[in-house]
Amino acid sequence: MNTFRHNFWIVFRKELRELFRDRRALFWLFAPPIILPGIALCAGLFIGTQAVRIAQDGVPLYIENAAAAPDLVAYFEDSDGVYLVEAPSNPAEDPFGEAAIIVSIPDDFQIQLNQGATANLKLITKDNAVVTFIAEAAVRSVIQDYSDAILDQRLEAKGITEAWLTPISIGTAKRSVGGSVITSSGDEEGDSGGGNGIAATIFLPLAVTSWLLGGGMGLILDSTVGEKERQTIENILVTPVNRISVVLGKMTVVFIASMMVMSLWLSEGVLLNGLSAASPELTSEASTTEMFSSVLEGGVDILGLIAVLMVMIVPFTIMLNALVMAWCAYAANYREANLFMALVQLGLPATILLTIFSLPPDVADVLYGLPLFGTVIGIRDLFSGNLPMVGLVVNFVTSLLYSAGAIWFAAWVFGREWSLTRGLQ
Amino acid sequence: MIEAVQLAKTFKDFQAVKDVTFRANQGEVFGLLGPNGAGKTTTLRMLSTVVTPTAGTATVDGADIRQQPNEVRRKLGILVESAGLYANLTTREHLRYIGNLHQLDGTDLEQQIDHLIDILGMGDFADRRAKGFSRGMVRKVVLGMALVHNPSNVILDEPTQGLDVVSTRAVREIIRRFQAEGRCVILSTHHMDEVERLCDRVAIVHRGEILESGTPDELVEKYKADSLESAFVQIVGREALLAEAEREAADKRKKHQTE
Repeated sequence: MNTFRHNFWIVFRKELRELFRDRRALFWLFAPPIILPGIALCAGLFIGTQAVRIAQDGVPLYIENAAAAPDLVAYFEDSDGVYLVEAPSNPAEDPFGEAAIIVSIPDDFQIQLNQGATANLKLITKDNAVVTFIAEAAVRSVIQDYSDAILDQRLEAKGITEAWLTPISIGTAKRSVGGSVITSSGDEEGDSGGGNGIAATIFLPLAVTSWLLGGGMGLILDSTVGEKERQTIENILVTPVNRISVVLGKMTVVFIASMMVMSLWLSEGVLLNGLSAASPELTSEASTTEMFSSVLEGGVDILGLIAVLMVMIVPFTIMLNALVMAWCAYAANYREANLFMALVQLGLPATILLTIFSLPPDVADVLYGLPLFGTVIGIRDLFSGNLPMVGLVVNFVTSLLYSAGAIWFAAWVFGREWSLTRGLQ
Repeated sequence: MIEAVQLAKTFKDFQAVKDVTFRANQGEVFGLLGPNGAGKTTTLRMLSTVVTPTAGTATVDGADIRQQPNEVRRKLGILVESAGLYANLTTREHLRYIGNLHQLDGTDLEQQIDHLIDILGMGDFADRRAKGFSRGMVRKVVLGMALVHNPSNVILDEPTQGLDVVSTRAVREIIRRFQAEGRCVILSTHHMDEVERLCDRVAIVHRGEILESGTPDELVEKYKADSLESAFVQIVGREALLAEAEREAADKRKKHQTE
């Protein structure tokens, strides 16, 4: 056993050293979860800053033919979101002047409104920039408010109430069907928080796909079939080393790297989930500290959520790594290995998405014990607040068994002459 | 001492090695001579326990390759013909890695590594990463990896292939040193001059069989040839050698096309 541990440690240390020295592998491993969300964050911050600036300062608006819509002009003057500016001094060269948006009013605008008809107006924008888009949305919002106010007046004049217009109102809530339910909000019943489900559907496939495309698979490829391609495997096979210790040593490094990448993705997903849940509190005037506070106080038990995620994802990742390693140990070269990888890379995210969307929310507990699907369903239900404690236990126990079986299978393939000698020159 | 008894290996329908029997003694350089595809490398892989024989067996210092593979691996060092290196490890780290896998550690291992770096002339690149190493440098490091556990039996598969003149001379010198140290050396090659210069005895292998064996002088005398090369051509057959060369060329073309 000491020899086994010694060999495991030697292989693990060597693989880890190689990984840390391989800049390309490190880049593809960590760049996507660091750079992509960073870019998205920058874009979000830019848009958010512009939205805040517009909300604080208001949109400079010029109304063409303002005399044709005196009530609307008065509504704009009372609004916080926009402020009116003078006509451009030289419309031929600079049609906008100080204005960001121009509202063009036809001569019969007020007449149409007074007659109970639809009055048309036109919004004129400079360009397709994000700032213009936000400004246009602000102006539209004010016009919509004005339109709603006129609608209320018209309904009142006809004696029609809002209740009469809306015969049925649909609300949503979650309720556990026996047993305790693990939710991301800690509530047993509450608003559905549709954003949570959306967050889960977005980042779960993303996290697994990141493992497939840039994380674990590349490392497994390099540490198994790469040994054949470089013709280094025979140097190991002629030493008195237990082959299971070689597999475990290699896989542990891959597992650690995979978990680091997936943890990054998942942390970002959890944060997204938290932001989604706390979004009503995230006002444009909140500071960064206040935003994080509102995420934390928004009822989202982030640490609990991460703990449950880890319980499901750790054995799941081990199983995936071991299965891919088994194939890579068998493959004669990169070409053969990549063929299989391509199938997995296409098939697995598709399977995950199909599982998330096609299975009903209240699945039988036994389904959490299915290989691969069980964990996918479990994570989906965790984010939608439908994961029963029994389901989590079933998933954890079965996933441990599957991962142990997958490791044994990988070691078995790695120990077979027919797999190791494929590709040897 | 390495002794093979009726060693055979079949891959699916192809019999790579048939009934190979020979004995290589301590302090002896035993040559396996044959054209490419003769079954030399498969024989050596069986001896080094990488592949299991379909029939027959072999012993290395009395340890059976089937029954005691780990014991065999401890007693044997093998230089694999096409072996490569890890691009991100240094020469010293390669030797240490294999030494560690042989359960060696500490000062003894470091001294052995320093010794190998010295005798193989690897001082200039001992602490350089293997990425960008020349063919000669790679062969030296791989040879060092085969010797790091100081085995009493050494198998060298085409040890001078791709080496420059200086490195070739150095490797030949090392083989002579092994002989002088009393190690058993099996040298697989298709360079006749190497066999004539280094080998005490030689076995001519063709299509998985040993066709003839003896000292180089005995073979030359038996076939009344003027050199070992002439004797080899007579033993294997000119037509067979041409056919092997054509087959090899076709294989290379096919490989090149698929790449």
